[in-house]
Amino acid sequence: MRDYDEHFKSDYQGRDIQSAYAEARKMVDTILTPPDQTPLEVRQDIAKKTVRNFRDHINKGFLEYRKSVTEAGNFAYTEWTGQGSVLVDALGREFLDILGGFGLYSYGIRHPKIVAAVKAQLDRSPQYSQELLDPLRAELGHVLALLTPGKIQYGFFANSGTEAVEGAMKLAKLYTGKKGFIACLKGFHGKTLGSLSLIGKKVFREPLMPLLDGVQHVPFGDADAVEQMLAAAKAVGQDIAGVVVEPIQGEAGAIVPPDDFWPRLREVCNHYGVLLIADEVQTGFGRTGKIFGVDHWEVTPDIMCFGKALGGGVVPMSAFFSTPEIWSCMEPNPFMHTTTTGGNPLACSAALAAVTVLIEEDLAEQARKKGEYVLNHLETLKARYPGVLAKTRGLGLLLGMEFPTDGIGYKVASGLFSRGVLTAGTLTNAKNIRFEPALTIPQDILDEVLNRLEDVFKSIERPQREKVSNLYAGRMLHIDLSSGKATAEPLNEAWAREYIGGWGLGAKYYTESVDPTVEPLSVENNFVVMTGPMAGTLAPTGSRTCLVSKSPHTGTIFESNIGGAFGPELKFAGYDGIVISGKADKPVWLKIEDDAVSIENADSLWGKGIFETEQALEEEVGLGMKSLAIGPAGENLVTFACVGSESYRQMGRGGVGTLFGCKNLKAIAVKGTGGVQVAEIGEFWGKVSEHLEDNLMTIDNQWAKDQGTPMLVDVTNEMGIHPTRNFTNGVNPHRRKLDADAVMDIKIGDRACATCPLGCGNFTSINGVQVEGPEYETLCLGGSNCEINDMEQVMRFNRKCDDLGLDTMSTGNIIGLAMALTESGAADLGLTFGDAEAYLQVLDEMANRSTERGRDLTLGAAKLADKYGRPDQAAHSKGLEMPAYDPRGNYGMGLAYATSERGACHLRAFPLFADDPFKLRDLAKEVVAMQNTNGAKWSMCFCDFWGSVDTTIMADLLTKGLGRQFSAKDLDKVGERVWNLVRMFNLAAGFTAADDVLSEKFTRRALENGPHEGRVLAPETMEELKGFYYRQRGWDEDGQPKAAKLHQLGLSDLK
Amino acid sequence: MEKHLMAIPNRCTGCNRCVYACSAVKEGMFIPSKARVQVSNFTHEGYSVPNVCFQCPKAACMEACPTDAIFKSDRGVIVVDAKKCDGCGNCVDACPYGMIEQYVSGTAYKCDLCGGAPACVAECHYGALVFKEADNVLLKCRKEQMKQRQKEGGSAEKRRALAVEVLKGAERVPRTAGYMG
Repeated sequence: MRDYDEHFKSDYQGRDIQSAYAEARKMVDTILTPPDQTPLEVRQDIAKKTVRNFRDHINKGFLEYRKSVTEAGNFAYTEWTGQGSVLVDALGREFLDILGGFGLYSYGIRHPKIVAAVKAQLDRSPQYSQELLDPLRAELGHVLALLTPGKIQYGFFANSGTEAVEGAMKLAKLYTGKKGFIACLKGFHGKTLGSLSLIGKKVFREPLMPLLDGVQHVPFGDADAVEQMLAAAKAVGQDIAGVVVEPIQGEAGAIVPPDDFWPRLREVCNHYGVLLIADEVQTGFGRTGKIFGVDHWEVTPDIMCFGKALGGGVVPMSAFFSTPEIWSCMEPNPFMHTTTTGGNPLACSAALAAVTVLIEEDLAEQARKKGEYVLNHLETLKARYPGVLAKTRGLGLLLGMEFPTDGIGYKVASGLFSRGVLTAGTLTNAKNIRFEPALTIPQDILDEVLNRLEDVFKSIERPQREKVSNLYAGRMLHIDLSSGKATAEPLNEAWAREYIGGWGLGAKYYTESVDPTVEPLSVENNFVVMTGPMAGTLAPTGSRTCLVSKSPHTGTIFESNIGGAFGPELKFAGYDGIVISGKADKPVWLKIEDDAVSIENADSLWGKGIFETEQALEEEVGLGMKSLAIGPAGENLVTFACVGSESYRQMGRGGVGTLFGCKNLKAIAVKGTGGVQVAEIGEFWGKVSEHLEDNLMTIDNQWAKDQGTPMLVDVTNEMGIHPTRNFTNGVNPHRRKLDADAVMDIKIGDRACATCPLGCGNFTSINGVQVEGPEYETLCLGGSNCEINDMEQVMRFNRKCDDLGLDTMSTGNIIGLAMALTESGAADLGLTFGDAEAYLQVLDEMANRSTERGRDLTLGAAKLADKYGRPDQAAHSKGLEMPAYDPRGNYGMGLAYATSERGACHLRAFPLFADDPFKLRDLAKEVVAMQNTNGAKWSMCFCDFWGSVDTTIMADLLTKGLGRQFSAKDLDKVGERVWNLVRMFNLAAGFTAADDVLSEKFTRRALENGPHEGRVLAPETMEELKGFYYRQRGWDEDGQPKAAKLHQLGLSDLK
Repeated sequence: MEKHLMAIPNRCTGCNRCVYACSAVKEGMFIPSKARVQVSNFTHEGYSVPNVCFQCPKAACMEACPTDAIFKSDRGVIVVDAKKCDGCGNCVDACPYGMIEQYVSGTAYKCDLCGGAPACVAECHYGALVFKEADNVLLKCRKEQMKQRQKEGGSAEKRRALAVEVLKGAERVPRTAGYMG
């Protein structure tokens, strides 16, 4: 840039009149030379100088946006000349024009008839005296009155579209005596201060607030919204002068409204005495296949605004027109609105010639036919190149192509540019590209454009992954709901080696992203959804998906996982996991289709049950979509709300659904078309088959295939640890009504998670009630524990919880407690053992928090029992309701519950079948070993029900999949590392060894029937167990991991 | 007698092992979107329908191909010759079952029964996919599915529509030992 400070001594001297003259002289000489006679070096000089001038004197910001600069080689593409639909730059490079100068070139570049008329008028009189009456303006007024529908008769001519809108607004205000306007979201009406107030996009408005008072925006195409806004405005005395709408939204990407929109607008405006203003700046004069946009619906507006094509693409011109009745308000003082240059003779001659061309060449009909042709062709391209073109729309030749992402849209625009096709995005919607050629575009050029477009589609490779890696997708998706930002980042490979995936890697990502003292339901809390390396492969049962966060129910770190096929789908979309942070300001859902990630409005889903939500998501995202969704319980922040998937699968425990709810996140829906790669497919598959046959499909795991979890009803009753009557008894005398045989009697099919050959899910049906389940925990906690010994009612309970988004385990446990409190007289909650009606009724009250009783039960077992002074009645550890294995008859389970990071949980260690369920030292050893193995197993995302899988098999599969050595020892260490990582987090969050206990129900009150009648798990026994356990873990007596242990696991930095 | 690849939906658990296996054989990676066998899942209804190519006696895809890229092998398998395929996509529109699809390049692909040893069948642990000479019961099952011809929609919609009809007609009774149960 010229250094003005150095060149000129003082501010005032900042000019150079001689240079100004010389530069202007030179350019005039160039203009006077016919374009084809200008020497190449002069044109090259102009190309270079134009960039410089843009940079120094126009706005250098444009240089970054214009493809004519960014896509050019040595010389920027510089405007030079053109004819029809072909544009030629200063260096003679040709472009096929489908941008049409943003709709300006409806008649093509330099239409000969229009140019001839303007040249002739130029030689006669280029401007007006401003005093004599001007014949061309008057005649053009007459011609447009004849061309426009209805009583539209008077008009005013100006220079640009935005002036037409400004004038229309003044007219409406003057006529109605009111001040407000209604316009549409994403609408575009120009950028001068008045019309800017009408624009429906924040980026142009916000920095310039305040704008005109009283402008309201409603969704385009929604006449009800307009009516509601008018009714509301009337009710509060906010007067509205006019409703300003584009017949078809142009800048939003050629959005065609529903057919009843314009007729309804007319009715509504009549009803409320408000003017209907059609902004036809882009749609007028044949563009949409009719002379005016409103002609599609045969509606006459009160005011019409014209621009762009009005001047024939030769001279700038705009106008607004209205009826005699309305115009009469301009007559007493015609100087209310004037302009020196508007409607000058050159512009009027151009417009008059343009009208003759419009009719002689039947441009509206040409636009209609060509538009249909293009749309058909685009549909074919869309089907042929899936994932490239998302939507096509528009009418006539006001067409838009929508791409899945801004990125693909940009690639198409620049690909077209480099192939000599001129187009651009739209102003209020960046994923769109215009297809808005001259209406006169010849068929052969149109075909050539479509050919080149297909060539571009072909060249667009599917979005590149950061890195193709074996087993992993190699990317993490980070979503900040507060800002609405989605970014994909490379997977942290060092962490992946240390923590594998699932629980471990999720915990690593989580603990690195928050402070341990974070409030679970605060905006600062995050959660991490994590798949494992086996997800999306044939490795059986290895497709579970984990979620890690801090539990709103217990305040501990926790992990909850789910089967089904969500995890594999996420991998196929190209992500190993998702980190969700922030909070949306209104209900949203997250849509992931490969690289296209968007945050969608969930207003219509909010309040719906999970079943209905999933159905709606499938309609939105398409067949085969997989989702995680919450029901009313999650929305209402019930702290044990779950997340559901595929109707009957849940991330059940710890309040995953609550975390979604507090972030206003209704669901995550994903559809992926990619794949998961392994080092050598044959070897990997061979190993999978070997372990599947030799280890998985064996007698050890056969129970899952045969009967599934209901077989545990018999097992736990035999052991005397089957929670019955709010954990009072260990044996349910009516168990036959709820056992595996009872389930088998009503089973109509087997169900499986992704790639699982076990198929443990029992799909059952009785008296029209269908559910996948009930699983053991539901049969016991929702059945025996509430003394609901009726399969049909338990199934209803199961279905309802699944739909409302309540964890069946916590819910069954709490209702059992409420029944005990009621029957003992401690509280009157209207719930008694065996009363199925109230038991089902209270589920809605809980999920919706709609009654005092419902709200009471959502406190959770610990707080509910405290509230009514009976802490000895609650069955939990660290506030998490206990699963269906009574620890008084199985001390190993007691230790497993007490030491689990998330409270009473049976999935951390399951020493149910220990040789001696009361031999403390051995139990501690077994619990630690199981916890570590499961730490690895949940990090690999294998299912609990591949009970015989060990770290040797897991390491073998990892090795073959990754193509590099991974040993069982490495995996054992991963498991132990995870345990210590989450322990350190809980300690930092304020938990201590004193929290590693069971509730008083188990330490003070004895079991009342069965083989363990009279037995408690006394506090001193628990202390002894914990002592053994801490020593076994390498923790000190306060349950704090010792420095040596942390060092051994590579966790020293946690101290 | 000819062997057929047949789906017995009542037995399908929706695990998709067949789909993963197919893509692994044909594409060298686990990429279900490119598998030649698909499963229509109705998770809420607890039902799944494997969608297989019937290798139709009068194959609509073959008849629709303008370049003779689709032909019937001597074993009765309908095969795509990728070299002859010009990517027009007529076969995709023509198949009433949604069982032939195109790569991004346009080239069509479909089930070729893995040369007589379908990988999908080997991975099905519930016997929902069989490859054998059909008996009367199996033939009836195949006929019921082949009746569901769809003219409209993309391949996924056609497969889904077929599956919806199969689900409607399915006899879903508590499991007792029986041939189709």
